[in-house]
Amino acid sequence: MFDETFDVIIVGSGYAGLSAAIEAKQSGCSVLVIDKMRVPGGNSAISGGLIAVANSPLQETEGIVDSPSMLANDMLKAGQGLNHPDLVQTLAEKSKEAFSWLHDYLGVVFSESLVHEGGHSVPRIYSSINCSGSAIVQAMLVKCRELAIPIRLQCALTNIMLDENGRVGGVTVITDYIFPQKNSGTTKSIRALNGVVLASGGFGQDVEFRMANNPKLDSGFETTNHAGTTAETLVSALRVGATPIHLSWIQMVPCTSRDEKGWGVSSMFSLLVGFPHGIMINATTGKRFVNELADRLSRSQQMSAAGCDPMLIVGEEAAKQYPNLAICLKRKAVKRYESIEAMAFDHSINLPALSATIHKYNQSIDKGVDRECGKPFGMHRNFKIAPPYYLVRLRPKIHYCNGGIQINTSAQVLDINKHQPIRGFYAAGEVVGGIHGACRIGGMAICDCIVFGRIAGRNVAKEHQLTAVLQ
Amino acid sequence: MKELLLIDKTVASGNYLILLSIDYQNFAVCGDIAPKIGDNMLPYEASFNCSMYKEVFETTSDLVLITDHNGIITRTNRMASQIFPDESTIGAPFWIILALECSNLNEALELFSTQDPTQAAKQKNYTCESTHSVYAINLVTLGDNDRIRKGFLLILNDITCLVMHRVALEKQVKERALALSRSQKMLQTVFQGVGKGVILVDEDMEVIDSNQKACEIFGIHPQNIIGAHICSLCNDSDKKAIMDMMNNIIENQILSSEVTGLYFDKSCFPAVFTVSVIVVEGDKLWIVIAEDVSEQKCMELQLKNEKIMTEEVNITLRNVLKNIQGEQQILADKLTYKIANDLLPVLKKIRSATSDEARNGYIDFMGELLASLTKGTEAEIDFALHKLSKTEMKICKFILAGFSSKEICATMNLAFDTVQTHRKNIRKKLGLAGSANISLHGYLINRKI
Repeated sequence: MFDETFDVIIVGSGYAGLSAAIEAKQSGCSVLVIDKMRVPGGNSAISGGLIAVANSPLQETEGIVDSPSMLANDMLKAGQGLNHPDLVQTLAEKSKEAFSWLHDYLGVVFSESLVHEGGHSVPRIYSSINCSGSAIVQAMLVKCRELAIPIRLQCALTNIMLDENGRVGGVTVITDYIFPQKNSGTTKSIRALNGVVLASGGFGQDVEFRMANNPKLDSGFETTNHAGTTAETLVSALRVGATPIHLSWIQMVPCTSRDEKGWGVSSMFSLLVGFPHGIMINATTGKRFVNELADRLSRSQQMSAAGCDPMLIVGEEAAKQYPNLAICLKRKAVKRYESIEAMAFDHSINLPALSATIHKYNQSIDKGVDRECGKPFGMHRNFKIAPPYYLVRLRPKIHYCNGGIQINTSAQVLDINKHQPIRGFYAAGEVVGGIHGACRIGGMAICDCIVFGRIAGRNVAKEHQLTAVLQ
Repeated sequence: MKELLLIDKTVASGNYLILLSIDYQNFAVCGDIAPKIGDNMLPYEASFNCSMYKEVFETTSDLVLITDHNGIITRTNRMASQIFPDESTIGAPFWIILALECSNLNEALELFSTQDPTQAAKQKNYTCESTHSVYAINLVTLGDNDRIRKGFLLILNDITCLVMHRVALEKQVKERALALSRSQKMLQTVFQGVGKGVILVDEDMEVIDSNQKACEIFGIHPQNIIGAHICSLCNDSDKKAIMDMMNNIIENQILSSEVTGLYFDKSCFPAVFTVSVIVVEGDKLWIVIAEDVSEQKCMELQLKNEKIMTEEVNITLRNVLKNIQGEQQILADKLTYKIANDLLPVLKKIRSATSDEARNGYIDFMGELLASLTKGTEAEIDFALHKLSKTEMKICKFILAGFSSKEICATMNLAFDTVQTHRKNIRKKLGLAGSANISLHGYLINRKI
């Protein structure tokens, strides 16, 4: 009946899938990772490579007081309390462990300064040295190669198979699949003795599915996601009784540029230096309109309300903190201006208002308080906005699906009828819902993928022994 | 005496300027002013000007409609009355006559004050149903300012020609755009479907575009390969070769080089980079065609091994042939010897036998001798050779064929030391150990193996 047999099958080769694969393999299981695309890594490989860590070594050196409970509070606050507190707590408690695993075990190199992303009460985000998630995915892939974990590309999940006891016992897949041609390839069934880990990511590119959940998000919206982020794997989980939650909470990210496709190179510029050290203005009024370090949801909402593509302006001293500035300028995603007049002229910004706004902001830095928009100062070095200026034309894009299928703190997928774990079925990463609630704050996705990916990997490896004991 | 106002309005009506003369209470155009004002005498100059205005009013090719301050049409010029007959036009609001999308004066005025260029162009045109001519409508407020409106002047300028021209142009643009998108699609299909990785590299040696196959070969996400340095796709040891190739190549030249490709998980694979360069608007653009040649390399190795095997078989066959020839020679020699030494003397004795008994005896003996000719010809195999193992035997064959130890190592894929050990064991088994003056080759050449 089955074409092949493995102990564990992992669907998806991003952060969550690879973390689970490494853990399961090290627990002695034979592991197969499948991915429908031609290259491994999925969205993880094109992500920003930011990971939020509570109580990190760098926070200690910089004298920043933080704790897992502070992180959990920030998550719950931004998530508007929709987040499941047990999952939030697990994640917050294990963020440091996830970081050490990346840093010490996989040898991922991070930059030596912490990022303060919107919605976090303190700077607590590490950034990978090349400002991209590709470095982290690469380290994971190198480890998978060392551990001889096969990663089968162009292999798409079509069905999750239940055995006669209602336990997940395998999958049907299409091998030699050519995305997005549904009739390509050959169907095969693969047995999973221990179980299946679903780590197939979100559905940001699936216009029909996202519109079913939020009709406003039609095809007119751009997304930072790669083309393969579609909902069919999530749907196959629902077919075997997984519980869908928070599906309509689809996050728009405020840091993306209208001058680039997708995530591009300038998003990290905006995220790392633009929002922390610059101002976001409405070009028509020349004025600021939101705390640049508010959570992603509030910023994106305010930006949409502004009714035009807002501009992010930062001074040179801050801009140069971003290592890939030259690439941004080369691709014209970030523009440099010698004078405020040139900048205002080029983008039809109200010049007197802009001058006043910059002046006022610089004064606020001196005072240490931002009475205008409530941006937090003083946690780290603040840069004034002085010429030459660097400008990004922002446009929020669909970025992350907060919703997905429900898991418990052991990463077991919960059955919608019995509210009990579906045996042999685990999930981690963006395909999971309920961790971030209404709004995911920056640096939490990678953290989430690694924490629950590893939990899923370790637990699916134990599944066999568990079955033996139960029988 | 009424004050006479001369209002200059620049109106986009072909190339001329229409000057309108208005007083505070009444208004009329040019020549009409004099009779309407009636009792009050107009200055001479004004009536002179009025007649000039009247001429312009009546002779202009534009349609001119004049309304009161409520927008009710009071007068039309000759051109206008051809399109808008007086009986149905005079006394009607202009927005109805001109079929504007509005229902009162304020809405109509709003239409003309809108800033949105796409809206404005659409709504400020009038298309005559009978002649199909298209007119651009210009609205001029009469009076010294907006608060004291005397009325409105509507000038309809025939833009049929322009509109037709634009339609033709639009059609042309559409066709060109379609052709362009078709050829772009074709180019894209070729780019994607070529079956090899195609990478475009700019003067910073950075990838600016690549097809899916290239991403697949290197395992790098399409978004990540853009901006990557071309050398980052290969082992460090190939950097120089690639840079040399790219720096030295000229247009219309194609260079290619075998390199060690680097997959995203840092595993290596044999690759071939084929490079060409074009100059686009003064900037160099390199086209690198990358190919994963793992399979070819694998096949090459297989072929090489097969060739070695065939050579070995050849050597063996050659030796077998040599042995058979040797055996034949020995057999022939033996026969000659036996014939000369045994058979011929017995024949002689038969011939010279004196008695039948003796002759019969010799004939019997002759029979035995003849029978023995076919016996005892088995090769005198050196039994020592039987002691040799299969590998040792193989090595002996190579030695016999004149191979050096080094060559044996290479063909049998053995270490030099291993071959040397085998040689030592062979000598021992053949009882040559200690007799350094006898070479293995010399010994074996005299043996049948």
